[in-house]
Amino acid sequence: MVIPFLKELILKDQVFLVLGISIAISLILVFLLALSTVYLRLRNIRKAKRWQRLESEWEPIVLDFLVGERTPEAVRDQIKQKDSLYFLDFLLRFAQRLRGYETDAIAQLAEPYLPALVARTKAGDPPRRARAIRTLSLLGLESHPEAVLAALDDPSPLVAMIAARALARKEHPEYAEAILDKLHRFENWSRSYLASMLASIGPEVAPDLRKTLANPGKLPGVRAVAADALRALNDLQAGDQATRLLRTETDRDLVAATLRLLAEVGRSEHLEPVRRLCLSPDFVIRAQALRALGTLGGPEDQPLFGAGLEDETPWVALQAAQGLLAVGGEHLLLGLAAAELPGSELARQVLVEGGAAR
Amino acid sequence: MTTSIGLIILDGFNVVALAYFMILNTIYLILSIIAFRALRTYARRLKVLDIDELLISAGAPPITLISPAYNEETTCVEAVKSLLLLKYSDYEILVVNDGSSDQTLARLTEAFELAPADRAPTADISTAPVRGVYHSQRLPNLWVIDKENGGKADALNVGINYCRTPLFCAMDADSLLEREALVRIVRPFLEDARTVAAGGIIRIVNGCEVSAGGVSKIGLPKNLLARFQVLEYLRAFMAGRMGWDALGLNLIISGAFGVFRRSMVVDVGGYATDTVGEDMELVVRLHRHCRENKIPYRISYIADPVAWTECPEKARDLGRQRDRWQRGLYETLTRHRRMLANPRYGRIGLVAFPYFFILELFGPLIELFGYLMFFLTMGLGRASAPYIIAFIMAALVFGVVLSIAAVALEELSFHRYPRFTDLFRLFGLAVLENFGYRQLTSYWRIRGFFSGVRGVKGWGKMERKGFAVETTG
Repeated sequence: MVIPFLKELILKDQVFLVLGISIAISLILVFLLALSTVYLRLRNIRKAKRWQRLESEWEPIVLDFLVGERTPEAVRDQIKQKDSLYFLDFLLRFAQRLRGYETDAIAQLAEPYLPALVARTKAGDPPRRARAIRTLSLLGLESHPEAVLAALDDPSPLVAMIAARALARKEHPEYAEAILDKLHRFENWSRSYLASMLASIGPEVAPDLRKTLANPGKLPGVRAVAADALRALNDLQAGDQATRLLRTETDRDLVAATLRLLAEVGRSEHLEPVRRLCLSPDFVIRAQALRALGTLGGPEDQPLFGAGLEDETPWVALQAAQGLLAVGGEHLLLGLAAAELPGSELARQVLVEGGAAR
Repeated sequence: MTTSIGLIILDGFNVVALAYFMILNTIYLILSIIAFRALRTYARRLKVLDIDELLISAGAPPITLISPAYNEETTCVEAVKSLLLLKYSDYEILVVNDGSSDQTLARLTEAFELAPADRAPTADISTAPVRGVYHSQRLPNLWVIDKENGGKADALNVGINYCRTPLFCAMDADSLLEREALVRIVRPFLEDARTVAAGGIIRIVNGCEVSAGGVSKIGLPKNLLARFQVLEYLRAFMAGRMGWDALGLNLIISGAFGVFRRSMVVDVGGYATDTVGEDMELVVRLHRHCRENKIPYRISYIADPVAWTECPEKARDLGRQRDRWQRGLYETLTRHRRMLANPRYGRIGLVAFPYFFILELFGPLIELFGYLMFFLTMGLGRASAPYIIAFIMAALVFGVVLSIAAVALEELSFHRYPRFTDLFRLFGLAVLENFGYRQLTSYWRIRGFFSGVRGVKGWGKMERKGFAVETTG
């Protein structure tokens, strides 16, 4: 009764027709969305169960292989063709828990499946390519380094970064130059993160870093990362170069990074530009220069620290106070701490932190 | 004559209300579709970037957690203990006791062996006077700053003044951060050095089991009001913020959990203390500052760092909260009205501001009047069948679509509610919320709007149960 009436109404009236269609679409959408949500839930449960089942099947045979009770072929015979990518994923997670010989053995097991993965490093969307690079770098960097190196030029910065991280390894300092060549691609990434990545390669990367730091053709940001990495490596040979750089460069980030480097690796003969920069109009440079002066300078620098203590920027004052303590100006800080002057609280803080408070 | 003018106004308003519902819901639908894409990409990206690697990375920047506390004597010790369990390589905790009149400071002093200490400020944002600085004798990364009462924003400013790290995390004293929340939320700062602020997702802890400073079992609350809010938060964070973020139009980072670049916040003068919407106001000011000074910047929202928060279970408390939120919105938008439709502020001025002004600020007014006019039109016998159907569709059916889409987005990405029953309950709530709950929140928001117009100040109190064990059957 109602349905034929509505049918007639909808067919007769244009407005009703539009509304009827809209409501029908909305209701279908509600239904489909609810259905797809339930489907997603079921699919997730099914996937988790399948993954669990496969893992419980594979784990004992891979362990047998690792203790020499199975050959690689015997393990691979157990893996169905359609599960090969899952198996690689499993091996990846397994390898992450292992070290040394066992990792190499897992890589050997993965070898026949890697060509398919190499193909995936060049196809599909960035997360897919990145995932392939990540897996390849852990299971097949020795056999397919060219694929990971090529990914440094991938149009996606994410893929390029995954490749850079994968290549930045202690056991492969030979890739450092390739990473440094592409460092400009990561100009938006955090510099401390990049420096930490480069430093993780170890002291073998230092000559390349020094070359980068000295090269005026490189972006200042890239050179600043090199300076921070050299600092993390405590590269004593970088001191002279850093001093030369401070005489000519003006880029704030580069100068600040170089001063941080000098604070770690500098010697008294590097003091001249550091002292000059303690009077820089830029507070970031003043603060870093005072920090460097604190490790390199001596009692004769106390007037510079004294001026820094009165600096309007708290960061400069903090570095000056710490520097003063470091160069033997404890008595000056104690005097200031005992008074009730603007810098007294800072003096007390630095004395306590420096273990010099009475 | 008067009657016919009245009827014309009535008809006219009906058209406005109908158009409002259609435009608002269409925008939400578009945002849901954008969020779908963004979440899918993000979830796949997460599989590539190793969280453990970030955890041990020396490149992870140090963070200061600033936790303002006001009369939190019953929860402050547990809250600090949960912060001490966070997985992050280098962080400091600054609890700012905002002139509590209870035993908050005494409890903290006793539990963490606090002793007076000297610590010089690193910035000079104007705040209420600081009474003392205390340092834990046991835990080198725990500090408590005792100050005179000045409100949450003032307490956060004190925290910023004493912050010595490049990033700080602003949070509520009763927010429960997930163990990996800091590692996850710091990622935008590592991936893009232009990032000045990043917000995470806020989820509702009511109905979840909490143990050892973390959520151990997730479930829906028993209380119906709280359940509605679970759905509302899913819609706001999974669809709304994710969608806005994908478009680079994020204007809000929740005060319950957000990480900021300290130097940038100091440059803009810290949190505004004369608004109840200090979290949104700061984000809008950061946008404004960066755009006016042509500073390249990014403000991000990411969906996997989670802060759990307790939501109000009583209508009175919820009403106060929504009143305050709307007041904060009013204060922020009117303070920065210069940005509205101003090309100087790019897409923020041309898209985000008009949306928030028209559809979020005035929306509840149109919405509630729309309901009233609908019933008036029906009462006067002037409602045509197409109008009735169109209204129901625009106001109700479309809303259900959006809520279910938000549940689908949650399932697609993080599927935190493990029980099937919870999933079906959320579907049911998507329908049920349209009959009363939405209208009630519109009413509270209108109240907040007029409170804003009248210049009402103050936060109002919310009765908290604390993170007790409570699950649905």
